[in-house]
Amino acid sequence: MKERIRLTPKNITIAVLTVILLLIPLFVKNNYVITTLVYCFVFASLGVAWNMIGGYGAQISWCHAVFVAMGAYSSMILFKKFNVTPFLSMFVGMALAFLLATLIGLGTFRLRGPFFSLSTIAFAEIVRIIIQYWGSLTGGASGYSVPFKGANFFNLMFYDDIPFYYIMLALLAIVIAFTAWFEHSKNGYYLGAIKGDEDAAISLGIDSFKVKLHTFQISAVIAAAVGTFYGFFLTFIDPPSICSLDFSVKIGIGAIIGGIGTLWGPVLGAFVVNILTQLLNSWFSNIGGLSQCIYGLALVLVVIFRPKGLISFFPGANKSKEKSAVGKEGKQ
Amino acid sequence: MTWKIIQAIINGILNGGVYAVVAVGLTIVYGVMKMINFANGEFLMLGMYFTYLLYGLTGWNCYALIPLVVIAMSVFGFVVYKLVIERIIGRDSTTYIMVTVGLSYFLINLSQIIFSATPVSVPSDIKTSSVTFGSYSASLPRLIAFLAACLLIFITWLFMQKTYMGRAMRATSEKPEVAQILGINTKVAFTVAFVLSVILAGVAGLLLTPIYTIYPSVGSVLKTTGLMIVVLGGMGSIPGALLGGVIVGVVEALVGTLISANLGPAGIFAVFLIILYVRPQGIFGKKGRVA
Repeated sequence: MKERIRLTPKNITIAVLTVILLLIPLFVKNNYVITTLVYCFVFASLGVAWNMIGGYGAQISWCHAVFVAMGAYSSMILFKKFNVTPFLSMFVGMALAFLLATLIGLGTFRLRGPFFSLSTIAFAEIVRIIIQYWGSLTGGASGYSVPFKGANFFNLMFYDDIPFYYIMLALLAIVIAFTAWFEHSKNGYYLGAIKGDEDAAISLGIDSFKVKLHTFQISAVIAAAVGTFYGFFLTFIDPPSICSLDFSVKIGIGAIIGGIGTLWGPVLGAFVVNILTQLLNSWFSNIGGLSQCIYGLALVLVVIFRPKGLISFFPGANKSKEKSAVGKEGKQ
Repeated sequence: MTWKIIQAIINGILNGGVYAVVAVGLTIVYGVMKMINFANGEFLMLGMYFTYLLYGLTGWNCYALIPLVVIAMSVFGFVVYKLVIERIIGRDSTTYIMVTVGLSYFLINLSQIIFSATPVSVPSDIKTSSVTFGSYSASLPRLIAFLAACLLIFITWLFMQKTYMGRAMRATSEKPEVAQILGINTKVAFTVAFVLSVILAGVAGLLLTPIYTIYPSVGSVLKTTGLMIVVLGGMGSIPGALLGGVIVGVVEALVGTLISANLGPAGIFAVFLIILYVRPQGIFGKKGRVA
């Protein structure tokens, strides 16, 4: 599938934005701005991964925080106890995420209806409880932190956030490139067919169970990989911050507000949600819960009035195909 | 040991009653509208706050506030239905999931802005009283909550079986198109089902005020439990919700007593997973679902 890269307005916009993002750390010395952008990159990567199963597959997952936590906890524990570089230990987290995704998927993808979403919520809650309970390994409710062992790229430890800025940006680029490929892979097309009409897809010989399961596994593994880097960026994690329903919902909300089932929607959504959160938190720091309140409301409003998300305000941005999970009348 | 186990089972059954009320609301809405309401726990939380506010205004015993809370919740449920739910009727099930999760998020944080995250409680004389029989004991608020829950579920069941509206709702849940042809106003059935579930969640919240403190995210845990009970008992089945509630209550209490109180919810999930693998249609589920 050799497509020539054409100079469409969309491609030009993406190129310009990429150059701007690459140059920002050279001109902006404000660490707060850099940190906020790192959060944007992290949530954008997670949103794109979430969107694979949530958008292309129309299976809404509320447990992606669990996969992030698997990546973060396993790498941080292996680093603290055995000095293993996160570039190796990330595969442990990915393997754990793969296993957990399989466990949920096996039980729920054979069923239609809301079973999958229900199970993910329950499942996430349980993993959080177990992490909290298993204090000897995970630090329990008081959290887990990695000691600073000197600035070193292979330990993912630096004196400021600028290296992380580039690492997360690169990670985001990889995740987007992979998803763009996935969209046009066999699995991606099968998934689109299943979403359109599951019975018709099955009658054509597509194993819908397997396709959904594989997609969920891929999505989970990516989330765990991002989780490893996110954990080292934070250097301190605890169950409420990294394995909570709040975190899972925030990942999903970004993707849905931006434009579910599109490649760039989740990226846009992550930027909007994170920047908005930072602004609201600094303007109204005395009102706890205001930003979450607003993006809960935003989620409701976007799904009701703009089911294709904010990305649909950009003409040509979602030309890729009509893949929105929402707005299709009459399908249960 | 035996004493511990039997006492845990008693506590579990009593807790299960309230879980069941939450689950009955969920299961009716699922049956009639095919919608899983992820905001149900937040309606329960609001029921608790309404009780708290009304107690502040009147100073009555919390059980005397039931009629007022029912009125408040039905108004609130109706407004939510008209503003939000009615607009997404007929869209696919992912829309329901996203909207109700957004709604739950909104309600949790709105209450945090209004009431702050500091827990409050409704004073009650019977908070620490308990009933003993033999060497076993049951806390009085939990016993009352359990009995009230059973009564509520029975009334709801009667309503669904004996009244015209209940029959219309059951017909709608079987096949909305046919029900409509037969002259049933399915829109009214949807509205009644939703408002009824909000009322049930609110009253469950009221019954819990002498037992738990009230804070914005108090509904989250109960919501997860309620959703699992619905699957356990069989979606759309009222007796299933009652039995599921009791099973979940007992499992939670047993795991809590025998292993660790913090792991109680993990025990529920284990049972939930087993049911999902072995009998996905739930204990009282009607027919197997197509895979």
